[in-house]
Amino acid sequence: MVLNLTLKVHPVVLFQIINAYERRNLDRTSILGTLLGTIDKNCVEVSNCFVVPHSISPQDGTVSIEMHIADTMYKLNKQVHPAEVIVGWWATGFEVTSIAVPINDYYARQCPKPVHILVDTTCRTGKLSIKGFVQVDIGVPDRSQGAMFSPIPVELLTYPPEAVAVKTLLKTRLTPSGKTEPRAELPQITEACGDMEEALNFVLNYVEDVMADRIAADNSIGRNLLKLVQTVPKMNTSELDNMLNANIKDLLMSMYLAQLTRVQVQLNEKLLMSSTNLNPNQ
Amino acid sequence: MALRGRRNEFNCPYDYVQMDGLVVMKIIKHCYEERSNIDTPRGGLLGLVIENRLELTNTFPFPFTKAGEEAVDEEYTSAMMMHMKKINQDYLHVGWYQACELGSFVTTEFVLAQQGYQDSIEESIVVIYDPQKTDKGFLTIKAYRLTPQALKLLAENENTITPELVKSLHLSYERLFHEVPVVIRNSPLANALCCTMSEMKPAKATQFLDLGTASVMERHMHSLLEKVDELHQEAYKMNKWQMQVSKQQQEKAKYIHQRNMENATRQAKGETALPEEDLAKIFRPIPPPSRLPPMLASGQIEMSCQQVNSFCSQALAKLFISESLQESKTDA
Repeated sequence: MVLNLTLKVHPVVLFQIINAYERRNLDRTSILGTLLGTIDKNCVEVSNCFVVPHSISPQDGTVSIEMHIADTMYKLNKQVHPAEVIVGWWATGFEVTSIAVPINDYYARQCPKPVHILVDTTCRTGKLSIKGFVQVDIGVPDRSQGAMFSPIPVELLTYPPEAVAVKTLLKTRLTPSGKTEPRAELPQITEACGDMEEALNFVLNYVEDVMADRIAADNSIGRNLLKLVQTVPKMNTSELDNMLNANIKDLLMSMYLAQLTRVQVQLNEKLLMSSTNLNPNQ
Repeated sequence: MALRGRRNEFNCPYDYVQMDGLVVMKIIKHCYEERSNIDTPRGGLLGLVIENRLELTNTFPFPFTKAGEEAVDEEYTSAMMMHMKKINQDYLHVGWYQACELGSFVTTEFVLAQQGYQDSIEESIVVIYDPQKTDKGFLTIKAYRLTPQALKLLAENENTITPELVKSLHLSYERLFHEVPVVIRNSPLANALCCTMSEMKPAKATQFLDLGTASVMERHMHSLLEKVDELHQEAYKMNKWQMQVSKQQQEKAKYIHQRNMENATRQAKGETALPEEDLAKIFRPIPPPSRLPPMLASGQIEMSCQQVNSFCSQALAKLFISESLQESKTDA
């Protein structure tokens, strides 16, 4: 049933929602849009989204969305990503409001069981929360019936390159200007080294505290530490030397050949440009 | 539309490119999903030039066109931009992006496409994303523009890209492109999202500290070999042409000599001299091979070599780290 449904969201979707929220018209407090993705048995994977402008009429509170904008965008997206279909809708805000039901009805016509993602851009709980819902019917049959949005777990799913990008993007939290640069490879390694050193120091302090009986020992942490130490493969020194030397030789050879190629290409260019008898016809 | 204020030596109206995190994520997602396709994934960039930077705020992917059609679907692009306008996004088309394996993007169609963009939109830029390197753990996104000399060169017809022209423009393969530094920026709300995401992150992180270098080196070497072969062929063509031209010169000289001799004998006999003939028609000048392919091949080789260098340097660093780990293990 719906209780087995899990929602997997790509980071792109969340970034797009935030971007659309930042660019909303000033008279709106919350916006909504369509979620695109694929459905696979009990798992809905949301890989794209777009915003749909909507308006709430002040008299009777009915909500209307710009359907032709939604259709256009869906058709344009189909040309590029033919596998993505409408799987639900998203909205910003702190809680599910009363307009959710008619919107859900509209989306129920587009796909069998629309999911709903609610992103709290007002950060009322102190952080930006992301919740997923599915509409379920409640009530007594033949009597008063209603609908409720029951929460479902939301997970973050990333493709491998997306995970790498998210790691770089996370660095923007730490700079005052909110900017970061994609670093070259060697500085990244040095950074990772520094991170590892910090982590190791932390672990060492913890171990010393436990040994000095300042903190109670925890068996699971101890087991994890044991696993960590054992992941370093055991090699005797001669084997290690062989492996290191072979690899270093390969790499140095490649570097040498690359430099040689560069120099030769430069020489080729210079010789060609400076040879006087290039075109005797002219 | 473009700011006429600051121009540096490359005729570039901005100093750096500022990309939103959203742009990075969308490019990566599109290129990952289309990675099995033979055509390289491409898309358009939307943004604005402000002060001394080009801000990229959104992108959209280009649909793949069938062979024989235009490279970029105009209808799709204009429909997409109108849509962007309606939803309050920037709708100025300021460039395009392309995925490329191991940084091998210096091809004729690439430069011609960028030239087309820079002709119509002055501040346009091309962003190159390397999916392979990013997979290995290093986010590689670079932005390039063609230098003014390169633009002048490409404006010429294919047949007239002679060595003289290249020399007069002081153009070498190193100065075809001008790399613009890229900065990634997240708005404060996006930073809040990043904080939430860092708690939600799946446990599996990318291993970029692994020591396996053979496969990547193989690919680098492969592409380098291909390009060197290409350059070799172009050099061979150039040599052949030079030999042909010198042979033609010799024949021409012989012909002139013969005619002069005949003219001399005729004059000695008192007959009229032979009419002057247009030598150019008999000895048609052979056109030199275009300098563009070898220059592009050289440029690509240069980039591949730089990549090999940086890859080797970080692989060496990783090896030395593992060595120190082992030392501490055997000591302990």
